[in-house]
Parts: sequence; structure tokens; C-alpha cells
Amino acid sequence: MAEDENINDHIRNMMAALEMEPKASSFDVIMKKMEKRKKRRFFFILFAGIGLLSGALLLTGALRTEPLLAESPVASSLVAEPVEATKAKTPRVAQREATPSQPFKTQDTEPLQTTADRIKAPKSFTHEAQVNAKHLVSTIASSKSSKSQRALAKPFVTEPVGVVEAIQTTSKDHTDHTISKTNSVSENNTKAGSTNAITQPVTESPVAEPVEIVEANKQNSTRTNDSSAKPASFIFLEPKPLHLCTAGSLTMDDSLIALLTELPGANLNELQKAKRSFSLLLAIGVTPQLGAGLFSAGKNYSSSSSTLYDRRTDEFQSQYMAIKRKQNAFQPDYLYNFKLGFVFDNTWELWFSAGRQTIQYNEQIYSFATGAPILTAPQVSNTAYSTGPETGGIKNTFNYWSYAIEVNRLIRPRRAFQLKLGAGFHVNNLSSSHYVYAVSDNKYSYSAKNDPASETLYIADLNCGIIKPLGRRFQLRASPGIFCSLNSMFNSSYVISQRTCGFQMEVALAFRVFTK
Amino acid sequence: MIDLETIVDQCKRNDRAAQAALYKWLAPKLLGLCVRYLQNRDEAEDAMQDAFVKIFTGLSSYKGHGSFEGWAKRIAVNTALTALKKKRRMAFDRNLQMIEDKEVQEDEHQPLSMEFILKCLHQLPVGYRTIINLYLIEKFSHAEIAEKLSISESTSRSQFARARQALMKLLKENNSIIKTAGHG
Repeated sequence: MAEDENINDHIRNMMAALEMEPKASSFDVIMKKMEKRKKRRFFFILFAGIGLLSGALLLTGALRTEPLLAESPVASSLVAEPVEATKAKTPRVAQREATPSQPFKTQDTEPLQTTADRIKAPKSFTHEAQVNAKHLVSTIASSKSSKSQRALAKPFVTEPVGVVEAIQTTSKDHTDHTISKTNSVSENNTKAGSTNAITQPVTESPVAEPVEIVEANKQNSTRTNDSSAKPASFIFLEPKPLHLCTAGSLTMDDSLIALLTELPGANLNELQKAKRSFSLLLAIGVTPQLGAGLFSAGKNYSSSSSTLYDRRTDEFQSQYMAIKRKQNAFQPDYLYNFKLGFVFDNTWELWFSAGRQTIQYNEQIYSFATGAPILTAPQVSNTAYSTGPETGGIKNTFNYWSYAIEVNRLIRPRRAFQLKLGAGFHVNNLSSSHYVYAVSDNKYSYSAKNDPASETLYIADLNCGIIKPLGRRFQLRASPGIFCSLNSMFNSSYVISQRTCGFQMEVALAFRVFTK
Repeated sequence: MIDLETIVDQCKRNDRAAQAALYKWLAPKLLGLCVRYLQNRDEAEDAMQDAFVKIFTGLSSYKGHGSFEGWAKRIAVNTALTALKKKRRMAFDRNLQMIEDKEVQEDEHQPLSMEFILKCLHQLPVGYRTIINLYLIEKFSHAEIAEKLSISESTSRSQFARARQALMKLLKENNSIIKTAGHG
């Protein structure tokens, strides 16, 4: 047993001490894997963000085309605010308010039962409307003779009444001035639980007063003359009775007219405002750019520790940076892309695009010793330097696949065109390149690889532009703006950090696929 | 001698020079570990690189409690096991020929060399090799092995017993210094 342990220990010690030398390129591979991992994480966060944003938009109903009636501003305003007509008080009303305990008197003491009994109200929700209709008729009629009242009431109340909307008022005036006060409803019927019949005469003044159509449900029927009771009345906005009223030969109170005229117009306007739209657009864009370099010291550059490049001293870094700044100038770049856009409520736009971007600049080869260019005329062809230039200059070119997301806020000062304010974020993935870069004093190297060029370039842009409709489906968009890369075009271990910033002018032709 | 604490702190700040230094110190150990699990050298290098990526990106989770080397080796073990699982080579060889129940002992004067043990280890079926690595060399408990390999604890015990017998047999067959001590 002890021998077993011995051999176990021996194997363990031997194997635990096992060390093997990895390949020389292994560390670089690890660094590249880390870069890829970072990139994957970025895209994961980006797409997760887009997904969350889309989900939030869907949940909040930005993509819904027809708002529910209950959620519309109209419905909410109807529920929340008392009708202006009920607020308008004639001097007579004011007088009544002053003496709330006085019973209302009317010259016409004939009970409405004769009229109301002819109504065979269904025991459904429309029953309330019919009872309310009776009150409306009685109110209107009370401002005229009893004959006219009956003449109007008959065709009016027998008309099928459909209740589509109701408004609840909570005005304190309600209990004092509505003609359907408790004294218009039999206490006996209330006790019996019936709300259909009006058994007592309406003791309303013969002169028309502001009308408030009240619900004749059980709650109202149990109201008392106590003004402290909280009334809950509903005004039914069924157009048919209203049309009948206006067609009659009545002289209506101003407040009633206000009631009849105010609501429908307001509803239409509010409904139009509440209607939401959603459009899908396809576009092709071309963006000429003028970009220049912004230079700083390489973040992770170390003149002594790494063997990746032939680095000498920190003096070389400062010299090279000075040379780069000296030869810095705006250079033409360009971007073209295909775009997919979503427009919400003709207010916000969300665009996704994919395309190609090219960034280029002149790399003049200098002598670090003298600070002067070795070859004064920069050469634009790089074919001669496939093995590495010793002298001369070259136009460094970097081609990227560009993926972007852009958000625009639309402003519509005139119908002929729209203005937009936008911000975009581009992820550029290096697809091909040919460039020279400084290795050490008086020594440049040619590269067509990612190293030391950064594989990914992040660019942000801000723009404001004009959208000009061309017919019903096409748009021409012109958007001047500024752009700036957020990271260096080279790896952080390179001697300098070089970002590109400048001006751009996007011109795009958009096609509206559909609008909901 | 390197100042490990300083290097780890610098690595947390993504200092490439520090990362290079840490790699230089740790890579041979982790590659040796991965080679024990993965027979193929290239696969072992891949696993080691993946382990380093996890180490560099997960350094913030290392709070300094316990040995850094132990923490890094655990990551490397898990990465190697993941590589094995990816290649679906984790099945235990249940059809192994009955191994003679022989008790072996090491010759005091001719200790087993590292290369020889590694060679014998690589001749074992992957399941046996893994459990020898985990239990005998890494000193994981059978409960931990059961959890890592998604097997029962009793399976881990029985497999280790068989794996050890298989290893001893190979050592004996391949080297004359292992001598049979008789049946137990």
C-alpha cells in the first residue's frame, strides 16, 4: 500500500512538473483571440441593445397602427374633464346655486310617465341611454310648452339609442341643477330596485337651463337632495338624439349648443393627432468625406519590452508623431452603403446600413535623423514596394466593410421638405489594405495585413440634413455632417495612435416600401 | 524571480508588456498541463491559448486569495476538458481488456522518467487518462470529478481504479523497472 502511494506520488510529482515550451507565435495568437473576443462582446451588446430597443418600441406601441379607443386622448379627455357646457352657468343657474334647498318648480306639472311608459327599454346598457334620453327630452321640452315637449319626445325617445361613449361628470352643480335629481325618480321605485320608470313629475323650471344628461342607474336613483352626495352622471354622445334636437324647432340654450358642437369636432382632431404611422424605407447612400488625422502616442507602445517591432527609443515615437502632424492634411475618403430604415410617427427614424468605406492618406517617408523627406514627390503607386520601401512616399489605403446604425429626429417646417437631425455609429471591419508604416529610424515597412493596422474601426457621426420628397415614394436626402473615429487605425501597441476625423456629405436616394 | 502581484495588477490594466511577462512565466506550465489531457500537441496549444484568453479577460475575478498558479491551472484544466468534450472523445472505454491485478512498485534506483510516464499516459484511453490526470495529478476529489465529467461519484472511483491498473500495466510492459510484486 505504501508502495502504491510512493508510485502515485512519483507520477504526480513528475507530471505536475511537466513544462513544455509553446510556439513563438502563441502569444500573438492569444492577443488576436482576445481582440476577437472583445469584438464579439461588442456585437453581442450592440445586438442585445437593438433587440431591447425594438422590444421596447413594440411594447410601448410605437409600431401599432391603430390606437385603442380607450387609450386615445379623446376617451381620456372625456373621462377626465367635465363638459364645458355643464360648466357654463346662466345667471339663473347661479341663482339656484345660491339657494340649493329650494325645490325646482315648473309650470308643466304633467308627469313624464306617459311618455316614458311608452318606452320599452331593454334591460341592457342601452336602457340607461333611453332613460337619459327621456331626461334630455324633458329638459329641452320644459323650455317650451308641454305640447311641443310631447311632440318632440315621442319620435326622439323611441328612436333606437346606441350608446357609444359616455362621460362621467363630477361637478357639484350636478345635484343641484340636473333635472334628473332625486325628486324626478320615485323613491318607491328606488326601493323596489327599479330604475326604469319615472313616476314623479319633473319639477324643473319651464325655462331651459344648462342641460346635463344624467345616468338613470341605480346609483343616481338613490341620490338624495343632499348636495354633499357625490353624483356620478354620464353624458351619452349618441349623435342621433343630438341631430333630432338640432332639427327641432326648439330654441336651445347656449350651453346645450356648446355641448352639441364642441364634442365631435374635438374628437376628430384628437383622433387625428393620436393616429400613429410606421414606414419602411430602403435607400442607397454615397458619402464623400474629407478626413484628417488626429495623432497621439501609442497607448501600449513600449520601446523596450516588445519584440514585435524594431523599436528603439521613445525619441523615435516623438519624432515620428511630429512628422505625422507636419504632413497631416485633409484627404478625400468615401463611404457608400445600402440602408434599411424605419420611420415612426413621421418623427423618428432608425436606420441600419451596410457598405464599404475607404480611408486613405499620404505617408511621406522621412529621415528621422534630418527631419526631412527622403523623396520630395510622394509616389502614389505602391506596387514597387511589395517587398518594403526604402525611400519615398505612398498613399496608404484602408478599405473597410462598414455596418452602421443611425437615429434621426425629423422636423417638418414646411410640407415641401423635412429637416432631420441625426447621429450614427459605424463599425468598420478592415477588409483590405496596403500601406507603409514606420518601424524605426529611417526604416519603413510595407504591409497588406491587419497588423499593425487595427482590424476594427469605430466611427461616430453627427449630421443635419434635408429630405426632399420626389413623388409619393421616393425621397432625396442630403445630410452634411461631421465624423470622427473613436479608436486608432492602428493597434494600441503601435508607435502612434491615429484617428480620423472630418466632414462628410451624405447623399441618399430613399424608397418608401410601405406605410402603415 | 518575477513580482507576480505587480504583473497581475498590470495585466488587469491590459498592459501588454505585463501580459507578455505573465505568459512567459505561465505558458510552459499550462502547456504541459494541456498536453497531459490532450494527446495532440496542436490541440494542447489551442487549449492553452484559450486558457490564457480566459485568464487575461477574467483577471478581475481573481481577488488574490490562494495561489495564482493554482487559479490559472484550474482554468486550464477546465479549458482542456471543454476541448475534450467538444471533440466528443470523453467516453470511457468500458471494453478495456481485463487488466491483471498486479501490484507494482518502483525500482528505487531507476525512477520513472517524466517522458516515459507521459508516453504511457498518452497510450491510455482518453477517459482513463482524464481521470488519472484529475484525481492522481490534480488532486481533485471524486465528487469534483463527478461534477466536471457529469458522471457519478462511484463511476469516478471505479474508473480511477481501472485507469490506474491500466497505467501500471503500461508502465510495466514498457519499462523493465516495473516489476510484478504478485497478486493482491
